[in-house]
Amino acid sequence: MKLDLASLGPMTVLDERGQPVAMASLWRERPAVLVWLRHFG
Amino acid sequence: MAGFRSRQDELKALGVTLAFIGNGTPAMAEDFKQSLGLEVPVFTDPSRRTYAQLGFKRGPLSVVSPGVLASAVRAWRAGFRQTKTQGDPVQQGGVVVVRAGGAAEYGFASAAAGDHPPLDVVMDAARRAAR
Repeated sequence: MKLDLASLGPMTVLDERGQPVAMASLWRERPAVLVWLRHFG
Repeated sequence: MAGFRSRQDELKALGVTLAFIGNGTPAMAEDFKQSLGLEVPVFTDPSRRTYAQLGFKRGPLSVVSPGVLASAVRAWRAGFRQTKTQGDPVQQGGVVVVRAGGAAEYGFASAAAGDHPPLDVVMDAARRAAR
């Protein structure tokens, strides 16, 4: 595992409505705890 | 990993964003959020590109001893990346704690199903990140 947030930041995920969100927007103004799930449910 | 929902109020009080990232469809993300009664955002990465970028394991399940886990954590902290394994694709997850602005505070890559970081360790990292 590596932790390269500069590379992760521009990558996008989708919100619950399918809209793209840049990872960096999650930590731009506040600290964040981000939990990657194996699967939903 | 959904156990983090029990800490959503505490994280909110600290001013720390809590978010989940899965790899199904957006509708599945919404269902997950509703079924668990989550008040925090749930995102999805169907491409699993963020998983790959973080080096989250995608390989066969294996029996992992605590010693192996501890060494995996040490290796991760030292910057060594888990190499991709061949075989039955089983995606693993993990946890990343980030300071405002993008400095990494903590990271944990699951070595196998059911391998989660202790909530208290993550909460300590969140408190440090919030300072």
